[in-house]
Amino acid sequence: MTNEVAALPDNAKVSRTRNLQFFELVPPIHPPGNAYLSRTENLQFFEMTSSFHPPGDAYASRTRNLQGFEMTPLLYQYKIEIIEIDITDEYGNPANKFAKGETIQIKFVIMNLGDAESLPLNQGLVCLEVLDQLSTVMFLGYTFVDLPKQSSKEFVFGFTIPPTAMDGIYTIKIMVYTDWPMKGGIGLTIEEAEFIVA
Amino acid sequence: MVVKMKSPVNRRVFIFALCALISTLAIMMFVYTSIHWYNINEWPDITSSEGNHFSVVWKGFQPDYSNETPDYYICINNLKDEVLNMHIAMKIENFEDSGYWFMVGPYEPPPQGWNIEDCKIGFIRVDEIKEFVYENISKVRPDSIPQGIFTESIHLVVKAFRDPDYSDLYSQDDFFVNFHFIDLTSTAVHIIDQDNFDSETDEGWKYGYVVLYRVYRSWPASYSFYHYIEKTFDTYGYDNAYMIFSLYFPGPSDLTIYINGVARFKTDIPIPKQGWFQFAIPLDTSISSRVGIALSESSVPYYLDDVYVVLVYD
Repeated sequence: MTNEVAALPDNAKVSRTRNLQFFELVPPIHPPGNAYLSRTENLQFFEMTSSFHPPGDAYASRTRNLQGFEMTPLLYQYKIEIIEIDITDEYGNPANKFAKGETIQIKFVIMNLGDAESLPLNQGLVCLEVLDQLSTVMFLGYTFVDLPKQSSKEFVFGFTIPPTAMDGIYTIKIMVYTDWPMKGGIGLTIEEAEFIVA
Repeated sequence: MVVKMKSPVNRRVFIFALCALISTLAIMMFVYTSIHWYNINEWPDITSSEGNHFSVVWKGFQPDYSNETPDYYICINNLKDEVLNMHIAMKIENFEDSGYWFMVGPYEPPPQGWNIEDCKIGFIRVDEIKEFVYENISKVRPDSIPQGIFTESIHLVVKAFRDPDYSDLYSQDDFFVNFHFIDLTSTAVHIIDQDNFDSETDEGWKYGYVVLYRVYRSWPASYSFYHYIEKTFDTYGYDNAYMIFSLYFPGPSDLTIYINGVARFKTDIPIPKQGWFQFAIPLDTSISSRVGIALSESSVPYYLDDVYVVLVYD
């Protein structure tokens, strides 16, 4: 006879949550067998003595046969221009008339207008001369300059007029050469300007 | 001869002696033939490396193109510099069993007008192959050559040293380099062909075009091209023929000249800069000469002008 159980209230619910039973086994039994021994690789290696280079020869030879030499440049290959000449006193004030003993300052700009096939000016000679009205050289100044294509450079030369200088119209000559003419240099451009000594 | 052996002992001694003799002869023959065989087949291999072991060995002109024309040809006219700086491309392959310090220099005093200085190449290790340009060579440009052409040889030497101070010489070998100088203004020079393009025609050149007033040696025209041009000159039957030409380079470039389809000349160094450069080469006289001028690809053109093919009278 079953005891009478009171009915569960509606909000008390019972359920099963797992479904697998397990049980301990007896210890495993290994069947009788053998112990096997085997080799698995088949290659021994040993460090060697230093490698031996047989006695040989050192061979020397020539490999090319054409010399090429630069030719004399031609005038058209240079497109050098003197684009500006300014005559000033020693303080930079524009002037055209000077007294003896005064210093004249000559500023000018040289430009290489060269295009693709023109040459850069390498170690070109920039030369400035001042001549009195008898064409006597009163001043000579020069410098060497590199002027790549499409570039310009400004130069300033100073010259003190000697007290013994004669009065008159003086000429400034600015010249650009590839080198000294006696060394085969060619004249590229020349510009002139004048001032008065009185 | 018949030898009768009455005693068995004597017979055994005789047989033993005979066997010994035969064995001795066999051994001697084996030794002789062995020595002979080794002499032919193996010992030369062993002794040859010793026998040919000269150490530094000059191998001559070994270009990666035709080696028919190892000499240099130079036209003396219209050149910018009074002193001509030569460049000789060279190669040293050190297959010695040791590294050495190498040097190239004059072997004997050069002819008049030449200046040749030592050039230290540096250490070249075992099995290293080193290419370099021997530059310490210059020659005062002759003003004129009445006979039209003359040849000078310079005697050079390549040395291997054991020490970086180049004081302990190990081995050396000497060699000659030949230069032929040509004077276009000589009365001995006869012009076979001249192309200056001033007629505004291609004058037989192919793959380029004539340009006017732009770039020229002789006003107003030259022949412009980008990579390769060629022309065939009828040089067959002449005693000699040389081609002298002016080439404008827009920038650095190598130059290769083909004769009848074969690369025969390459500049020892690339032309270093923009400008006009002059070259001289010998042409074939056993057949006509199809001359090809090849330059590096360029986006700006090269220009050819003042081409002379000349015969020099003896």
